[in-house]
Formats: sequence, C-alpha cells, structure tokens
Amino acid sequence: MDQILAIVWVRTRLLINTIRLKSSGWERMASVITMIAGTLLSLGIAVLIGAAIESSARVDNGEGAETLRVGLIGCFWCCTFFGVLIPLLLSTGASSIDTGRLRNFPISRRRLALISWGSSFLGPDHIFYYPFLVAAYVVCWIEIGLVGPGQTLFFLMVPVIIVTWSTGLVSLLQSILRHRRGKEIAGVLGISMVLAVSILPSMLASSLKARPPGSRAELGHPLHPLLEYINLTPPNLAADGFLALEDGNLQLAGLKLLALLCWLLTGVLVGYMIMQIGLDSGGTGSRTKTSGPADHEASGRDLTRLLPWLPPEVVAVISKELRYLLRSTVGKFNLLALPVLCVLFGQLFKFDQTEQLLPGFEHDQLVIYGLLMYALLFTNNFISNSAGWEGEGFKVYLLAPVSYSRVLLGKNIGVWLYASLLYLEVISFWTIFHGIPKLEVIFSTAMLFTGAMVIFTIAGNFSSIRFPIARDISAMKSQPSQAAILISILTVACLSGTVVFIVLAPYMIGLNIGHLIPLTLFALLSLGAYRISLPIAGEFMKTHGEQVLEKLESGH
Amino acid sequence: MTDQAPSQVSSSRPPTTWAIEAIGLTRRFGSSIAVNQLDLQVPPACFLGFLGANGAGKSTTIKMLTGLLSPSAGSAIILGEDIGRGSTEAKRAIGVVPEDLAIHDRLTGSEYLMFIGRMYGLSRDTILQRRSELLQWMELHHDPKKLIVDYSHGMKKKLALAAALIHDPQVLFLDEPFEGIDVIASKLIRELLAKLLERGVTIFLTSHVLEIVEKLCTHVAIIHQGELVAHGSIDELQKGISDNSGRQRSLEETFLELVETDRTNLPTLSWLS
Ligand SMILES: Nc1ncnc2c1ncn2[C@@H]1O[C@H](COP(=O)(O)OP(=O)(O)OP(=O)(O)O)[C@@H](O)[C@H]1O
Ligand SMILES: [Mg+2]
Repeated sequence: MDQILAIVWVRTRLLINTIRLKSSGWERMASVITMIAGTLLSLGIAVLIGAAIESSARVDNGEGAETLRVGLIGCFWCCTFFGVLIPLLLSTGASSIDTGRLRNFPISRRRLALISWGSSFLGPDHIFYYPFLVAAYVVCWIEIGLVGPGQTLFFLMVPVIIVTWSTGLVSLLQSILRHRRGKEIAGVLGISMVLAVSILPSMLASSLKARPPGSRAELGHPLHPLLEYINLTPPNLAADGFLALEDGNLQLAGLKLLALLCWLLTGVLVGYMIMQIGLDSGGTGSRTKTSGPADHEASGRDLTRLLPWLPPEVVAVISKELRYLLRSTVGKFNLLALPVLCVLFGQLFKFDQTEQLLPGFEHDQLVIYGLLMYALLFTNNFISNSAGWEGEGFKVYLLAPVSYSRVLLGKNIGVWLYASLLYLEVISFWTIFHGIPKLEVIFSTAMLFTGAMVIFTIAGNFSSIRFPIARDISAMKSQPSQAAILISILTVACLSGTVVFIVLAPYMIGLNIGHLIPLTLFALLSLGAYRISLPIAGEFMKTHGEQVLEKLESGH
Repeated sequence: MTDQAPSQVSSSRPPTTWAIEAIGLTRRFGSSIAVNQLDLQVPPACFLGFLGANGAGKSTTIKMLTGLLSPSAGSAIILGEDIGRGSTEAKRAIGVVPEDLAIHDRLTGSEYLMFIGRMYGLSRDTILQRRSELLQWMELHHDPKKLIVDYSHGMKKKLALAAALIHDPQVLFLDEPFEGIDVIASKLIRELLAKLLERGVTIFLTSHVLEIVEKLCTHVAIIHQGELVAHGSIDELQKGISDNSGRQRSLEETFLELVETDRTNLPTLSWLS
C-alpha cells in the first residue's frame, strides 16, 4: 500500500509543481477557460439529453419505457464515443501514470497494472463525459422514482468498461505503432478502429429506428447484418439490464450483468497483457526507442533538386520536418486512417443524393470538404505545436546562421507538403471507390483546403512559439497546450465564418459565379496574409526562442 | 584569489580582436546568480580549459557565449561580433557541442549531418565529402540506416562533435565532450583537437577530467560559484599557487585548492560505519 501511496503522492506533487512552474499567466488563464468551456459544453449536452428523455417520456402513451431505453442507449453511447475518442485524439495526458517509468522500482506487475488502471479513471480525458451519466441518472430518478442499487450498478458499469477498454486501446496502439514489425498489424488495427468508431453512429441510428427491437426487416443500411450484434455492446447491455430490473425481470437483468462483466474482464485481461508486452519490450515509457532502421529513406532525400528555387537552409528544414512527420506515430496513423474515412463517408452519405444542402454545392463536394476538414484537424496539432517534438534539436535553430522566418517557412512548407499528401490521398481514394470527382470539385476543394491550411498556419506559428509543449514523437496521444487549443478553436470559428461568407455572399447579391472564384480569392488572400505574417512570426521567435527551448527541454 | 586583476588570458602579443570575449557576463535564474560578472578574453588559436565544480556555472557560460541563453547583464562577443544580438557572422564562425547536445534524434546520423551542413549554408558536394569523412573518423559509418535515437550515449556525443565540425568553425565550444566516450575514440578526438589547434581554431572546453585538460589545453580558467577565480596559461597557474617547497603542483591540486569547500563538518553516513 505504501508504494501506491508514494506513487499517488508523486503524481500530485508533479502536477502541483507543473502548475506552479507554469510561468505564463496566459497559459494558466487559457487552461482555466478551456476547462470551464469543456465542462459547460458537456453539462449543456447532458442537460439537453436529459430534457429530451424527460419530455418524451412524459408523453404517456405506452412507449414510455421504449423512449427511456432509447434515451439511455443514446446517453451511454455518447459516453462511449467521448470515452474512446477523446483520449485518442485530444489527450492532455496529465495524470495518467506511465507504467514504463515505474518498472525500475520493486513493484509487482499486477500492482502496476492496478495502479495504471485506477489512475486512468481520474484522467482529465474521461472526466468530460461523466456529466452525461449524471444527467441520465437524475432523469431516471425523476422518471422512475427511486433508482435502486442494482440499477445504479448498471450505470456504473458503463464508465468502468469504457475506461478499461480505452486505456487498453490507447496503449495497444502506442506500443504497436512504435515497433517497425508491428506496422502491418497497426495498419489493420488502426483501420478497424476508425472503422468501428465511424460506423457506430449510423448503426446506432438505424438500430434505434428499428423499433420494436424484434423486427429488423428493411433497415436500408449496408451493414444491417451487424446490427443484430449491437445489443451485445456494453451501452445497450447496460440500458437493457437497467430496464429489465425496472420490470422486475431478474433473470434477464442477471444475464445482462454477466455479459457486462465479461466485457470488463476481457478489457482488464487485454489491458494487462498489453502492459506485459509493453514492459517486456522495453517499457511503455516515452523514451522507448524505435528499434529498427529508418524507413521512408527516400522521402525528402533530394528535395533540393525538387525545390531548387528555395534557399538550401529552407529545404533542409523542410526535409527534416517531412521526415519527422512521416516517422511520427500520429503522422503515420493519419495516413492510414484517412482512406478508411474516405470509403466510409462515401458509404454513409450516399443515400440522400437529391437534396442540396448548400446552394451551388455538389453532394460529393460537401463530403470531400468534410473529409478535408478531418485532414486539417489531423494536421492542426503539427501546426499549433510545431516545435513540440524538436526537443533538444531546437537548439540548432538558435545556433545556426539562419533567419528565424526561414526556419518557420521551412517548417510550414514541410507540414503543407504532408497535408497535400493527405489531400491527394482523399482525392485518389475517392476516385477509386466513388468515381472521379468533377474537375471543378477538385479545384474548389483544393482552394478551400489551401486557404484554411494557410490561415491555420498563421495562427499556429504564433501559438507554437508562445505555447510550446514537448511531445513524444512515438506517442499516439497528441498534447497541444490548452492555450493552443483555444487559439485553434477561435481560428476555426473565424475561418468557417469567413468561408461561409465568401461563398454565400455572391449568391446573396444575386451573383451566380459559382464558388471556385470566391474560394480561389480566399486562398490567394490567405497566402498574402501569410506572407505578411511570416517576418513578424520570425521576429517573435527571435524574442521567444529561448523560452521555447526551455519548455521543450524541461518537458522531457 | 589569484591574478584577479588582469582579466585576460595572457598571451605574448594581444591580438586586435579576441576570439572570445566576455564582458561583465552575468546570468540570474530567479534570485540565484549562476554566473556573476564574468570577464574573460581568449585570443585566437588558444585552447582554453574551463574548469569548475558541478553547478559552478560552466554550462551557463557556454550557453551565453554561444547565443543559446541571453545574459542578464554584460555581453558575449565572438570575433568582434556580439552574439547575444543574434549576429549571423558570429553564429557561422562557431561550432558547439552543448551539454545536452542539439540532436534531432529521429534522423539517421547522415541525415542529421546533411541537415546541419545545409543550415550552415554549405554546398551539397562539400557536405557529402565532409560527412563521409567525419562519419568514418568517428566510427559511425557502420550502420547508416540507424536512427540516432537508437545510438548509444557515446555515439550521440561523437555525432554531435561531427556536427559541430562540419562547417569548419573558427571557434569551437565543447561542453564535456569526453564524457561517455570510449578510450579509442577519446584518443582520436584528442588528436583531432590538436590538429584543429594547429589550424588556428580557438577551442573552449569544459571537462571534469583534469588529466585531459592538463595534456591538451594551453590555458585554463577556473570558475567557482559563478565567479572567475583563476585564469592563465597552465604553467602560470601551477606556479601561482606553488607551495613552500617549490614543488610543481598538479592541476588537480591547484584546482582543489581554489574551489574545495570546507568539508570538515560533514556528517558520517551512519549506516555505513
Ligand atoms: N534553467 C535554469 N533554471 C534555474 N537554474 C539554473 C538553470 N540552469 C542552470 N541553473 C543553475 O545555475 C547554476 C550553474 O549551472 P551550470 O549548468 O552552468 O553548472 P555547470 O558548471 O555546468 O555544472 P556541471 O559540471 O554539473 O555541468 C546551477 O546552480 C544551476 O542550478
Ligand atoms: Mg554543465
């Protein structure tokens, strides 16, 4: 017990020290704002869900129980999405315990597993969806009256299973993607995970439409055979178990509980096994080596020949940046995940081809836009924390006789090249699976993508210099600072406003010029803005370079 | 302490520009002072060993002299150019092996050297030639596909040294270059440094291995708790504090005399006795 206490103490001490050391008031303020905004958001959604369940259950037409089921399942699934996706995409990682670092101490592995499992419940990643559960619980309380301990148990099973599985999944992905030999497996695994996560909403919608639960006749969904199994997933099991108890059907409730326990046990076992493997192969610690020779040897090998009009030092930074992107776990994962999303999005949005959602926009165009926005999100982390994985190497920029704006230019072009790779991927996979998009679609999406990317970069250059956070290139989790997240969110908000305005304004004044011209204008304007911002960002880096170095080095 | 007043490393004829010049160099971290009013002048083609106990301020000084850390007061001047102001000329003239290196560890050794060469504006052919020679000299050419993250500690150090040399700097700053280096490589590096010295390169080296300093360096400066307590050529320093018997003292004795704090009141380690 002493060891566990010591670890808990170390964690809190570290947390307190980092908060204390966070010298910048801005950073602290931004993190508080983000925390409040996040809590408000999830509370808001929770209240909405609660109100929806409440009001629909009030309509006492015999469907009350069914509505309650739908509401509960909806709520539990929301939690599952948040619980699985947030740690993967947007983790702050602050309070999870790195078992790799603890393995030098005389602690048994079982205890280590217990510690890491327990600590993940308190991870900030998971706290976001707890309000959903609380809201649903309160609504049930209002509806049914007293919620008994048995029913509460079903409620509690949901987060426990989510946390167990998501922790396991994250470390599995991390440990697999880190090793060269595991790459092929990682491909399959990553793809199937994204697949699962993306299919689930539509499956869920279809399954909920299919009332009563018995009839699954014409669902019109390409994956409807799978729907039969959706009742075996933890959210459905928990909801059904809850309702079975409510009906007094003890046998059914027991069965459901048993199934839930199976999920939990499997999750725990899988997590334990992954941890074992991780520890045996050198630990899950962030310092783990990649082992294995460099791949992508060709990439950027001779960029100087390809980009002869750029100064050689810019080309040097570009090729370094590209190598890093392609050797990073997240960079690889994005390249793998995008094709899958491509195929899926195409499938899911195939049905209502007829209606135009926005004037003048083709249906595929909108879907491709959606995909590109995903791609932008994927790269946003590289942009808004672009110095993150330089580590001690950041010194090179301070030592070398190169102007800082050139360094930034090189870093930005590197990310842009990576982004164009993603763009090409989207277009080519779309072509393979859904036919060639119209030329106009290709051009206008390219323009929008370019413009949005460039504007992100302008904001990103400043937030990466002002709010850098050291990150591990081989980790799946990405960790921009709270302030950087806030800046990106603001950028997205401004950006989408601008784009909608630019595209719709001609229509409003009765000018039917399509959207290619306005979007091209948008891209050109943003490039102009970039040109103006670059020297300013360079100057900013000159004054803040030392702080960046300090933050990067203390982060490891 | 010893010759505090003349703040330059003595040399037969004072040069017009010093290779390295620190004027009132000071660095504070919060309320503590890491380096205090450091005045130091190093002429070209001088091999200076910069000594001091742990935490004395050696690395902080090197960081300020190379532009990695801005001084709280005073200035750092390399070949007449103020490096604290970000002078590109000064940056081009120096090669640095910082204490915790400056390596992008997800590149291979040769990719890293290419990157550095380009950053210093060398032509491709020059880089290719120097790179292969340096890698062979440092015995790093055996596994060209290995990422630096998979290098051993000493290999990284050697690579950092290669990177500091690739642009043929006039002034070289080495922060503990021999730490973790094997005997063979250490011998090779010592030869290399001697060769550089012959070419007129100024070398500023910190090390805890006094034998190496004694063998290699022409001059020595000693820093204690952020303040310069001694400097001069090795002979001068050893004579300066020669004991009554007139016996020539080793550098170690001199060093200990200058920086050792009073340890008489230390507690014994109770569980060991
Ligand atoms: N970034 C920093 N923040 C706060 N204090 C620092 C920082 N860097 C150095 N110091 C302090 O400055 C003093 C000098 O440190 P420095 O690294 O220069 O010592 P050193 O002579 O290189 O020691 P060593 O031989 O152990 O490398 C130490 O007291 C150290 O604690
Ligand atoms: Mg040091």
